[in-house]
Amino acid sequence: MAIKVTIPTALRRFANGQATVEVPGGTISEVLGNLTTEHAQLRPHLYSDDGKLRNFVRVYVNDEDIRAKGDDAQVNEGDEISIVPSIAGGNLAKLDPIIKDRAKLTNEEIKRYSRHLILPEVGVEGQERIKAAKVLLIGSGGLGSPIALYLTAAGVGTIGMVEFDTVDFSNLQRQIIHFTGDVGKHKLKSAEEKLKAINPNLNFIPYPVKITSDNALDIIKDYDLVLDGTDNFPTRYLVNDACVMLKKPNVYGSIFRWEGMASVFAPHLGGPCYRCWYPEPPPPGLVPSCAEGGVLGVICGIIGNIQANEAVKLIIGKGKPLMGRLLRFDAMDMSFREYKIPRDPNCPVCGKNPTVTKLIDYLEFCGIGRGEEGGTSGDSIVEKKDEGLGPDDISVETLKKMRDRKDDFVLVDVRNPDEFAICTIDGSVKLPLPELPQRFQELPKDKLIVLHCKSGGRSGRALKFLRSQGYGKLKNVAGGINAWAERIDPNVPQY
Amino acid sequence: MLGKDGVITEIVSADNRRTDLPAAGGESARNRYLIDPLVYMKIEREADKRGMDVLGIYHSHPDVAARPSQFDLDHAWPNFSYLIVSVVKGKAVESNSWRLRDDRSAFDQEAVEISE
Repeated sequence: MAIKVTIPTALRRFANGQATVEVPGGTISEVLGNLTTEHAQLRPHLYSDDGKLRNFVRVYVNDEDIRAKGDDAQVNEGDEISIVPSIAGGNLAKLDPIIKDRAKLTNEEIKRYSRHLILPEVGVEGQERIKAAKVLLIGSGGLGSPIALYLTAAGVGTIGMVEFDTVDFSNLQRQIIHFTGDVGKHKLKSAEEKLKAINPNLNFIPYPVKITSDNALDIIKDYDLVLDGTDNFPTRYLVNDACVMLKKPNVYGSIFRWEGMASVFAPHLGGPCYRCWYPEPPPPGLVPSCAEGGVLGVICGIIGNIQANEAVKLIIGKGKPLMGRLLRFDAMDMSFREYKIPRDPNCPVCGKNPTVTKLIDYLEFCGIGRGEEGGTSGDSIVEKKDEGLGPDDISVETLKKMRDRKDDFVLVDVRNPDEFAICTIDGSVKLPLPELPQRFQELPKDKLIVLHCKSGGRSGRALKFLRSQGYGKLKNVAGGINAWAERIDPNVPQY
Repeated sequence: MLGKDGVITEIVSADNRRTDLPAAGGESARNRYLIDPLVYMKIEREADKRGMDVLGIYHSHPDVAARPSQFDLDHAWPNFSYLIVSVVKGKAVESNSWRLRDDRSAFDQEAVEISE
């Protein structure tokens, strides 16, 4: 049985100039096999060396793509097979290394980085760029820890680190740069000791401050790229905007519970910025922090190392950066998904007509009061202590007195059920914040309601919500159950 | 590019099937093109009817030289003229035409003659 095969113009010279050829065969692969036996010059253009149809060759049977059926599909008398070019091409603009300088390697360094030096994409040239690189890490917490450790090991010459916090027991589950013996120590001191122990060649520049609109440009301007390891929206927007204004690539990572995300923001290199993706922050309280929602420590290593990986690629100018793409990791499914982030031409910071041209008040922008201001690392929801109590706040000492006097009030614990299992204050009503909008009517309107959570942030939001529902007598326990454990009842664990 | 016996007399534009937005160093519609096979088939059939052949493909290389990339070589068809226009900062600065060797090993540059 002979089947008619249409030959595209491009290949006709190899088929004696014919537009159609009659070839015997009962299946598509038989027909094409016979065709390329008869006209051997066609073969290298249709098939790759491993005998597969080339990816730019499309075969249609009566105008139907055979890819759905496979090439073992039967063909019958009267069928027409068409070979159709899928025409593709183009050239990627080369990504230049963001580090133009090169710092000569010592003999000790040549030995140290030998596994990089024999990688063709790094080589001596790439390693010299890595050595010349000045990288700024915002935060030395969950993400900052693996980033700092690996970039130091990789030979980054200068690492700046912005961090105001001290090491806490609750950090040790994920902030692997800090050890048990470091609890109470400033995180920068703790980090510097480990980094210098890994690589004494490192030039480590500590910034023991909170990054703010007043100091961000000054700190970032001396660096080649920034890795954002913050856990709160005000700092994230601040770092984004400052990096856009200073034309510094911003390698972003974030983690929550069992999930993580990473991307590279660099409008000056053709990619989007954080605001192209998220023009406005979510309402305060909608997205819980890791201190409130928990986080699997291991995720920090996975996401932080993706950030470190992207930083190295940018420095040496190799590969395809995670730009215009958001990588989302799900630890439970063990799956990565990629989302495209288009650049927004109307972006207020990196768009054609930017409206944000200098740094703004990011706490206000994110709708956050000064009292619940975020920090840079894992446990940033720093609560007010006794001094500076707000008009709605009571101290844990006052709560103790009210309980001792047997005052008539309802103590409401708005934490999550998992946290109830860790510790509770006797006699409290358990009403998790997410359920409050459905269940608030369970609370009496005529009695004083005292709200508490872990450290005061969520109960503050619960208070505002209840007030909006017409509740008049409300108080918030400043410092939450952690302050209670610290100052009133040592049998209650802090977490 | 349509014509007969090596003389291009007509240009037909085909939409780029890739519509993804630019990302530096990444693949996107800015630096990759793909012509829908069915669109191509239609163009070739129309040309056949009018006694013309598809003689080649023209595409641009934004901000890089007018020479074929490895990707171009990997996806090239024989007997086509690949006219590549280098566009730097929105301006066409250089055009070269290339032809794939029959053994697919490389492209050879070919002369382009412009006549009235």
